[in-house]
Amino acid sequence: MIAAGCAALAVLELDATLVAQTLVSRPFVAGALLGALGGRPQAGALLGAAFELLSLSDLPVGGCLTWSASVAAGTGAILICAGVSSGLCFAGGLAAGILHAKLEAVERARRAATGDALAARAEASGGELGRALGFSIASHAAMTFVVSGAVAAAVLYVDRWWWTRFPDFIRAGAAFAASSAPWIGLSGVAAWGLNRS
Amino acid sequence: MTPWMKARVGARLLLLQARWDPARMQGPGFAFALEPWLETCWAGDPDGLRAARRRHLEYFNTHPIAAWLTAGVVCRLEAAAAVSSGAAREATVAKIRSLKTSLGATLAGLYDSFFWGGLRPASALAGVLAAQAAYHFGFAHAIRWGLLTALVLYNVPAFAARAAGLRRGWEEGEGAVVALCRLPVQSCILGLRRAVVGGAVLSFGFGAVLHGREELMTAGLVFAAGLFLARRGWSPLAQIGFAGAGGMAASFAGFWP
Repeated sequence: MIAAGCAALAVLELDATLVAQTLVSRPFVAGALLGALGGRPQAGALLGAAFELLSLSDLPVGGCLTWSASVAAGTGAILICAGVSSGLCFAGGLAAGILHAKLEAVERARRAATGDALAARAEASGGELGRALGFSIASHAAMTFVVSGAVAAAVLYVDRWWWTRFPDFIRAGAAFAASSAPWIGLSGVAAWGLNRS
Repeated sequence: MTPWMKARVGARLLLLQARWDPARMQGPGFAFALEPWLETCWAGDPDGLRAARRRHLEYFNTHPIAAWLTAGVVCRLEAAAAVSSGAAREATVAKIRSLKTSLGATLAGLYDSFFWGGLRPASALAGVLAAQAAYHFGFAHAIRWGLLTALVLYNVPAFAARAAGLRRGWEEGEGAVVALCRLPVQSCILGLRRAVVGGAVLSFGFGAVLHGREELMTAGLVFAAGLFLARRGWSPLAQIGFAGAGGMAASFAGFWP
């Protein structure tokens, strides 16, 4: 079930930058869809809405890469469907979103390093570009699958063996951060709108 | 350009950023999108085709939806370059290069503000609001209504702008850009941003009525603190970290929960 969720997230996340940008990768949509896949659409949508509101004022311009809200919401939804507590789901989703953005920066730098060689090949044959784009899409989807899967596995391990042994105040802090997220996101949106109106 | 050719170029433009990199940005994706048209235009001239591919593999960057209008204008100019020769061809090729750079940057500013800065947050927030409202008023399938609202509100204008951009760019060339600049886009952007602020307040209201008085007070405090910190440049992620640390400290000291 977790592998299927990560695979679905890997496909949905392509929409964020690489393919089409139709908003199906938005956290609210991805969270609800992955929640529905795991049998908890409402929980997935709620978590997705929290990440949606947190990321609403981020503009994806100039190659900006702070964190991937889609991966955060998707991983969080996968975890919530696996029965993990909401505080830990939120923290795990956030960790996956930040890790994904770091690796995407590495991926982009690698593409830039091989750009001249590709251009030389593509000049001679138009088919080269299609193959390069296909490889780029496949490797990005694989990276998303691995990141969300690895973080989900790590969080599940912590949840099963360690989370109940953590001091109460740490678990309370994680729960407070998760429950505050929608309000922080809404205040960010309001401030962003007021700054630009 | 036949409708079939426009559909092929359009479908390929959906992969504009599939090989985005910091050096060439959307260049490889743009060259991939134009490939069928370049092969048609430069069918009898292999050297011309290579040169055309080379110039489109160079750095190019704009908003993904604005790329459709740019592609329409560039396709028209490529067709003109292919049927001309000598100095006229060189002038057209130079025009393609300069136009891509200037048009890309100009349109990016306009489209980023409208689509990323206005329509995207407004439609996403409308989706969240629709789900909240459907849940609040007892409609079935509240989440489906929310998803549908967000996707339709964003994608109908976005795909209309894509199709119109490619068609009018091809038919009118640079005239299409002049016509675009006459549209009241800035007032639309301002309206969308005001709608986002109003939507955020309404969403807070819907969320608040679902909570008890004590939770409502906490939510109000977090919202007020978030507004204060956000206006002072704190990112949402930094605020989440601050909230987590604050929650731990309050719990450790015995104030919460």
